[in-house]
Amino acid sequence: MPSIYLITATCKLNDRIGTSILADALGAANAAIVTVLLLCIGTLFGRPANALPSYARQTGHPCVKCHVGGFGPQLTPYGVRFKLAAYTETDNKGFKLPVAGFAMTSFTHTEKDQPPPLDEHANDNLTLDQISGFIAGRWFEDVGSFLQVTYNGNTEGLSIDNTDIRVAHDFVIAKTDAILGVSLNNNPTVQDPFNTLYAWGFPYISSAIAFGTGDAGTIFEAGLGGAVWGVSGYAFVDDSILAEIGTYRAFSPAMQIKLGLGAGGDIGRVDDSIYWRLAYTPDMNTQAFEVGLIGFNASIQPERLEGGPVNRYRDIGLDGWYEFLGNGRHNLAAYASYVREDQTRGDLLANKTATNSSGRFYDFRLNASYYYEQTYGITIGRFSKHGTPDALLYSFSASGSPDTAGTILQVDYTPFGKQKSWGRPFANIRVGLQYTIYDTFDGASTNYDGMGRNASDNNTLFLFLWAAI
Amino acid sequence: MTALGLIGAALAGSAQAGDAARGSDLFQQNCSPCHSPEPSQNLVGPSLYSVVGRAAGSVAGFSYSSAMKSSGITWTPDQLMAYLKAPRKYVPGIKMMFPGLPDEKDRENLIAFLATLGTSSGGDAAAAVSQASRQ
Repeated sequence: MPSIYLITATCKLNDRIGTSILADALGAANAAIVTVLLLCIGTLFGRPANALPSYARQTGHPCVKCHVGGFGPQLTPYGVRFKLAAYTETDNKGFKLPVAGFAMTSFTHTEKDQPPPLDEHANDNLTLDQISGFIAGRWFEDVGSFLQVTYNGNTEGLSIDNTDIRVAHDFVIAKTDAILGVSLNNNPTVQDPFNTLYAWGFPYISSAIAFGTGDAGTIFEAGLGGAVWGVSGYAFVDDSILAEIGTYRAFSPAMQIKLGLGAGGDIGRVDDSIYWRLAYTPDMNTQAFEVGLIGFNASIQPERLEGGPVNRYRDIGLDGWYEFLGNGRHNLAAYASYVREDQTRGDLLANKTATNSSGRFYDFRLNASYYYEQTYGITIGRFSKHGTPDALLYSFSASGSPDTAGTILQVDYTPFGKQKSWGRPFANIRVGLQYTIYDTFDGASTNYDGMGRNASDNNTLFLFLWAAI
Repeated sequence: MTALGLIGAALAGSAQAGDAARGSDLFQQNCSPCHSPEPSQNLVGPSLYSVVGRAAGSVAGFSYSSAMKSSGITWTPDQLMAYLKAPRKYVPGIKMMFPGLPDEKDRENLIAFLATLGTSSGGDAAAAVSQASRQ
């Protein structure tokens, strides 16, 4: 079976294929198409979630209390602590049904028509991207959840999406406050309370039918989301130090089908995985920051063969952010992350889908947002991915290089979500315009695919409407 | 000296030094999302009506943490000054996620405003301050 990287590489392609072709692909049992399907899981899973009105109903807080810009997912320090406390804070006014929903629709235009295989429209696509339902909020005194089920309008499929079920309790240890908790989740980094890493990092929303941040990525972007389940324990000590450690296993293929992830969604057997996180994040009321480390190790046997060759991934990353909240009129937020991944490609090599037995991948992200009156927002972000070339593993690139870099600009308008907003907490909308400029795509700025396509041909204009209730 | 006089004397020391008008702004910005200034209106946090002079963990109908219920604190201005600097450090284990007001003047102003919300002995805090200053 092809590699995780191929999964990622072809996933974008699948997104562009369209439903009818996808159905054909399902009928063809060859490895390449299976790869395409896996890819689908990899990039379509973990679509963004915003400020959930069920949390607002539960707490009585406006969205801006927990989210920069009043819509999410950018968490304020208060939102960070709400999440770490297992989403359980309440206004004590009786039981609130922890349910919410949202829908997202968008228009995507790329500089040049997208390469085949084509959707019914090679360009200028209006799509219903997703409709999601949530069980999100307090279940019991110390138990709460963020549980998302999504109908994906691009694949016309219903599946489990990001899930984070928590148990947490406040303890006093040596006269120091400590929240101790456990997270049961299905996507490494979905449990992270910061907006620097994969599940919740910028871009918080992007076109599902365009080019994203390239055709390759770290293991975090390569199909783990939804296909795995994991448990991690964490401690948030002295209201500033977060330490977490956990492990992940893959769902069985049968369970993945039951969860709506499709027959081709299996990434294989995941062994020896360790996820860990360390962060320091003091809250200074009108401003806050975080500096942290993340690590993830895993062995993956794609065919689930006992004793079969495995691909090993060892990731370590640095991240940090700063938020200025002030009195709410001017909000500034900046986020950065740098992840280095070492790969040992036992299975890839055995299947002749990689040239080199090992390689390295680097992923750097930096972005900053400004919101005026928690309503009018502008964000600029930079992404840069670099990996050691491999002609087979990155065969989508004429040079065998996965390198992709670009800049994302976004402006958005969030009219509701404030203390005195009309319709609070039921009316929640964000409208935005995003433009992605690629300097390099799949290893080159010009003719990256050997067929004359340039990185700038993938520049993407993305207009979106996001509504939550 | 009566109980009201004792509270008033304490208020004269701290709250009178603060600016209640500025404290009102601080209250709106920092406290109002979770606390109501109206009597018997509990939100995520308990009502702060009459908080000055009140025993901690005593508002009827509010579900306090065991840490707050067992703290033994009476919210005198001095206690509020210490508590509001870093609440979770002052009383570890409480539910309130507010990080605190590090600026001393801000705390004085806020407490001056809280004092205008009445005292637990039933009198008006501003009047209590005035009475204390006349004694």
